[in-house]
Amino acid sequence: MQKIVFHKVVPLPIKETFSQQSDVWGKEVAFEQGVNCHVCAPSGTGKTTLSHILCGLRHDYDGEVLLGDVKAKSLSPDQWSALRQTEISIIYQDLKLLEEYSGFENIQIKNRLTNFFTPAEIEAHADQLGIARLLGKACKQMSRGERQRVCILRALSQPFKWLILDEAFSHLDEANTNKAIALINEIAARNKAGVIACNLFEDQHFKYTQKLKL
Amino acid sequence: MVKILWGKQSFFQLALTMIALVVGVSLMVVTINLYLNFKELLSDNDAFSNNYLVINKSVGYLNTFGLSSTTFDDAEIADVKSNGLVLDAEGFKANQFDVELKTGEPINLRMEIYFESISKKYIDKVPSTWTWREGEEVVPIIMSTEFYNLMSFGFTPTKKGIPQIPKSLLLNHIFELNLRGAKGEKKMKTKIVGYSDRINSLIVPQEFLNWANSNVGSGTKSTYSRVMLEVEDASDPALTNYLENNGYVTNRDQLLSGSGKTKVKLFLSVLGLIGGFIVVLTLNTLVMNIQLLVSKAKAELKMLFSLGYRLKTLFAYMFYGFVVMQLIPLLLIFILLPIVNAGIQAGLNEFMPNFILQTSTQVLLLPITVFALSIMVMAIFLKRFLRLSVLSD
Repeated sequence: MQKIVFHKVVPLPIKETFSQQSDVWGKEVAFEQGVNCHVCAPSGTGKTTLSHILCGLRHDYDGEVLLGDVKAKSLSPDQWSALRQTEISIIYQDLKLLEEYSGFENIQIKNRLTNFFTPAEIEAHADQLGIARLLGKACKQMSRGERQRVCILRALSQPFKWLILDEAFSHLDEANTNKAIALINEIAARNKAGVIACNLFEDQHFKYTQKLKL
Repeated sequence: MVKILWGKQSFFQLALTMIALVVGVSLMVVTINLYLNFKELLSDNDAFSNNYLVINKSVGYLNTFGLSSTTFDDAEIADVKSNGLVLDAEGFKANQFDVELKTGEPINLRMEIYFESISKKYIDKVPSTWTWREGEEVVPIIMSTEFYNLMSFGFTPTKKGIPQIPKSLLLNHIFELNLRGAKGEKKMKTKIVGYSDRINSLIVPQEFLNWANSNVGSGTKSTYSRVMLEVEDASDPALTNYLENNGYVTNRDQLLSGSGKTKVKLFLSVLGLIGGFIVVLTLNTLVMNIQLLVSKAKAELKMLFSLGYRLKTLFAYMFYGFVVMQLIPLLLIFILLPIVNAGIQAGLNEFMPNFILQTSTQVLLLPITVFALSIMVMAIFLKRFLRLSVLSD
């Protein structure tokens, strides 16, 4: 699949309230593979809804999402799971970590699906993010920013064509944000993948060639 | 993975459910096994059946002096048949000549005996060799088990020189027979071909008795001293009243055994039903356990699904846990069953020393069937709950 096309998609929860100026809702828009895209989305415009539609966790919308030639709504839950294993990865805003388990275990839960990284690689990348010493610690004992970095590394632990960032750096300082961006760029380039960064404000984190407003 | 999904499940709760399953299935297995073992005793077509009764008239002083008869005539039998309580009735034909039996060497015992005859349908076990045609020398006899017992355990032990002979050895031994009647004397041979638990008599084929009565005996019209009844229910009070009012006597014990049998049947059915009920309740509890497990792990399941785990994979992780869990009660049942059976056997030994409890393969299939059923129920519900819980918002 080369691109994801939104054809007059309107999520049902914001059917009445979505802005006519939106570049995505109700319009025709394509997310090409390998293209970095920035989606600027003020609160309540459906930023998380967009990322969830992109990774197949939500199907409550009018219009069509096309994955290549395939209608997204025609895919079974297990087919979507397969896509989330190898095509689309996402850094969730609400992190979705198992609080009782260590950072390493949380990453491995994802990594073991495709055995994308070796344990040594996980440690090396954790070191790049500055969380190598925290990997053995239970997530509930970590700060929000530390958890966010575990979450970033977990999202990278799989092959992907699209990496969706739902406010991925919201709890990181500038230095740590830059480390994370460097790692994401490195691995995205290796995957020939692009990022779809959804953020409240405009940012310069990646070299965007596509800019959309929700 | 298993830890993530199963970690929140209360082990105590599951253990309790499994114990209930063991108890329920064991109860069912034991009762059905007992039923199968006692089937012969409990069924209606057997020797102890309460569906067959032998009646006779009571003997009074008038009979002793020959002023009144204890025989039934055809009209009386017809009357018994037509009272609505009796399905069928037939008189025992008796010999109208003297019969002397000689055992031959080495014991050399001679005794006067009698013969009776009745239709095959009243006899519990009819061997195929129990036939006779004119011209044949050997007369086959079906002997009452009671008669055998009287001889072996009553008579023989008191007589020096007469050995106790096993039932099977006695079968087909040829005895000499001397028939003496109004029309002369006849030497024949005889053998015992089978035993009857139902009829307390020496029964010969009707063909033989008819022939001998007219060729050796007087050949007069026969009357019957005993009548066999086939009834719906021997413990029916209406039947008891009818017999009493007409002065007929029957074996009262048999009537009692009839009602005792009903009680045993009732007890076994109630026990079996309770077992079945427990099994159904347990399956229901199991379904609730699954629901609980899935809802407790809902957040984890949703998270794993959002990371790319397939529903199939999540299903497998939970399902195999349940299968393994179910194997434990199954094994327990197979371990417990011989122990429980040994206990029952010990209990039975006190009043049924010769009874050996057997475990039939059909009974052993039952736990496996229940196991398969519960696996199926689990698979269906787990799949449903999983989908509902993971795909809901």
